Amino acid sequence: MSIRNSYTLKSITLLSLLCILLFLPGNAFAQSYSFSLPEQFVDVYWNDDGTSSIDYLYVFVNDVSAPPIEFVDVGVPTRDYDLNSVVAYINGIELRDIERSPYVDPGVAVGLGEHSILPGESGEVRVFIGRVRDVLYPDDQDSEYVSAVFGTSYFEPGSVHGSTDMRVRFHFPPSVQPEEPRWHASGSGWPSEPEAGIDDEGRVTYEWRNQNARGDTQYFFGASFPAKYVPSGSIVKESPPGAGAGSTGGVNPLACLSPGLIPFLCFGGFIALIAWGAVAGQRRKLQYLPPKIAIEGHGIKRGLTAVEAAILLEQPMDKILTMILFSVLKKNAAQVVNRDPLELEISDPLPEGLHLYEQNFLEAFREKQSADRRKALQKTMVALVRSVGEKMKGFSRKETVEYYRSIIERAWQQVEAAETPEVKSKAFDENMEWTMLDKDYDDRTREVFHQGPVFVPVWWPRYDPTFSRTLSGPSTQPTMTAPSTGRSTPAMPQLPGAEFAASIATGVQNFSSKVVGNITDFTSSITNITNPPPKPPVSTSGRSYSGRSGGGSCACACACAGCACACAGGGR
Amino acid sequence: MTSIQESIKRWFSPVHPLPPGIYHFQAPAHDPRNYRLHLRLEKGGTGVLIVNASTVLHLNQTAAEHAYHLVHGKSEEEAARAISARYRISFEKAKQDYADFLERIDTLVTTPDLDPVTDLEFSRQRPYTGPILAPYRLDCALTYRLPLNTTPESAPLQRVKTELTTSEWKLIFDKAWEHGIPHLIFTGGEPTLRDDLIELILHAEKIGQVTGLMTDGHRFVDGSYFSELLQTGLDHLLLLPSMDIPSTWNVLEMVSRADIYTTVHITISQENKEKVPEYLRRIADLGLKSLSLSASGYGLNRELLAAREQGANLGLTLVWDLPVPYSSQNPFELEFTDRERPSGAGKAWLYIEPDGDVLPDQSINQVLGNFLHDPWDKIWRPDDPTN
Repeated sequence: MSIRNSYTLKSITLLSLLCILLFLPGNAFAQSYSFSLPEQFVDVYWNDDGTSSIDYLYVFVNDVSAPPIEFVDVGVPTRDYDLNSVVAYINGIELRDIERSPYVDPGVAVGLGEHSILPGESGEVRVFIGRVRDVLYPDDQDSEYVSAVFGTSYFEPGSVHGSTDMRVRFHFPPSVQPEEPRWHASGSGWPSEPEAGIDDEGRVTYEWRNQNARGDTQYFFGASFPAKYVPSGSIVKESPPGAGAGSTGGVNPLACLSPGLIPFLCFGGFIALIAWGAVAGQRRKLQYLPPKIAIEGHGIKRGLTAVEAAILLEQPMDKILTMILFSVLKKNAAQVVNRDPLELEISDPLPEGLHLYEQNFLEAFREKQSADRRKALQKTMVALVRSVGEKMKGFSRKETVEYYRSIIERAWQQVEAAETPEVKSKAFDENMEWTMLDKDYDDRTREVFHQGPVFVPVWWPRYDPTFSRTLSGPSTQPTMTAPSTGRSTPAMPQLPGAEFAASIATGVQNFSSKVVGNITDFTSSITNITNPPPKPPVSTSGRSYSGRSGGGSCACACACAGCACACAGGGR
Repeated sequence: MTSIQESIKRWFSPVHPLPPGIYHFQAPAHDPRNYRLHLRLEKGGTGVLIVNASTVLHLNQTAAEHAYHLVHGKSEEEAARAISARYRISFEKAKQDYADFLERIDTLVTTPDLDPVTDLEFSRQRPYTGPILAPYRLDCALTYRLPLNTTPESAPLQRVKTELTTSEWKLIFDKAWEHGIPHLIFTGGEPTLRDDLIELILHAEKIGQVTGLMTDGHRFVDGSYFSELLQTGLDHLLLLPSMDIPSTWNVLEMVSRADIYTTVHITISQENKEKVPEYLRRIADLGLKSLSLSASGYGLNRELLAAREQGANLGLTLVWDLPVPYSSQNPFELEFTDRERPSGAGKAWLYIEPDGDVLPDQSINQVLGNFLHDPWDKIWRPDDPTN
């Protein structure tokens, strides 16, 4: 379906139709578009910069036996328009497929896509063209005035039937006063003078309305207003095309041709027929939009622990192992007896409620040989990655990652919002596993505690075996300070924020260098299992969707590609 | 003259989207990927492509056209020729897009642990949203009869007294296929008590439907019956075994060795909650890969989540939305504390009782009509708020 205006190649069409009629006894367009247009409203805004904005609103009712209406071509008065200013909607839903029309020149093509108007259905299409230049001409009766003429879009004869409630409303530049505009004569069937009014923006309006207009006919409307309200440079000096305002072009173009030109035009018409046939051949085809696939799946997977989220967020392996270490220390499942090399004393019995990855982690530290321990930690991480993969099935990885990133940010906000060092430190302890997921953890920790110390959490001595000793020694750091509440409670040990952050960072480094050895090799040993190299691509499309690192050598847990299962399966 | 006119008409008449219909593709026996595709073309030429009866893809009109050629096994050249003849697109571009489409589907089938949104450039659609032509699945309660020693409460409400005949069920399957329903699950009661079960599965498979069987497995003690069942082409099993019966584990072991996708369902109750961890360990030890969980009451959320956690650690994939007892009490539901999750009952699936009456779901006692006797328009009202 298309919409045409007065600027289409009318003469070629007429000649071609003439030639076709010579050869075809019937109507070659029997299966073409067929619809009614109960409403067509056009608002034309004449702007104070000399441009115009046009707001079309069409209500289509597609015939039951007609093909779907898939796109709408709308004519634009001049070629100098801004395609980026065009927006379109169907039934209030914004349409994205907007391009210059290949069939209406100048014009825009709006693809309705999945909202195509199916046979027997109706649809309201709105097309707003925000900026059209070269639309004003000098008024030939008053040099102080400019002439603004607008011709409505119209449809192929035969495609539209029934009457149309058509309304055209001009909105003059904001400074134009009600008594200033002058209307031009309008065509038959229309009121001899428009109805004046004021719109929501206080602009003077002229409105023409005909409830028995035709959708396949072009109507012209015109008015003049003082030229002082628009830049003089915006006024076109030449005569406007089709400037016979009010004329619908009902004159036979052949009538004014000299006889010598007719054979040439017949030949030209034949060429035009071929060209038209080629265009029609293309036009009968469906509009091709890029293939789009949407998968049914759920959004956010909630309930992951910080360690599990770290897998999803592709955190480095040594950092994740450190997080597990803190996790077991906080749960009083172990105590660090030596930080370099890292040795743990594992509680017996173990407290309840340990995650499997925590249990496996502790089991790994029962191994005395570093190679055995490394192997056990590798198994721990493989199991963790696979477990997260299972849990993620049916959920969106992308949305879940965003969700946990927001949790990290909220964790920082809670810490930062605390007003006293004690409360801040308490919040920091409670949110530590989440704040650790921040790649700028060290810097932010220093930043948050730059004005005061960190009151170390109660489990800190289990992490830093030297801490308790230094508490009782003569050293000035760390110190014991009574909380500011002034109540008679045990003093809380504290560390400078920078030192606290550095201690965490040291913990991570210890893991990478002393426990798992070369972190890149360690990571590869995991990703090679959880995320084996993909098979070679089978197609010639030149794109690869494998998206996997294939046991790549990066130090982060890009094994997560192996837990990015989302959506597929799980449901039925 | 008429034929010339018709030719010219055809030349000038607009191309229409592919008409609604359902198409089936089964990977050839030698293909190790062993996958099935069902393409359902919807009104207006859009499509729904269902991969292995579980992954639902919604396609725009162009993608549906590519999928149409995929399920018909067309080469890149054949597909590109057909598409460029129907769309304003060059042969080369159509060929490139078709190859691209094939690769994405292939990757989805062969690498299920990739994120389709991040890695395959799919968009995500909330389940059971958007207009669809027909449900994806029909749960067919063939009978409400139960084995002799089974307690009656373990079956759905025995609301109906009659059972459809073999030919009536076949007629239902045919109608379901015509309406574009690609997946049947045979349930009950105990569906293996129907002597015609094998005949019914054969019929559905012959049409092209994916078939699943939900059973307690008691008849599988007879190994020859199980073998015969496998020969029908049955696609998946959902076992609801009585874990305390020793023979159950023999059945599970036999099933685990068979080449059929099997899900084991456990209903956690106050009585068995202590034994569930052991059940899960044994299920994983047998090499079974898929798990369904529900709880017989609201006070068992902790046990449900623990079982879900243990299942994930054991590598058991959780499935849900199956016609199992207390299906609404499952770990997956607990993800949606605000009840934001859309329900597929009455839309993604329908449930047919032994007499042909249709319910939105086995747990929703609201008769939408009778599949045999009522028009489809009466039964299928996915947007009816009372549905």
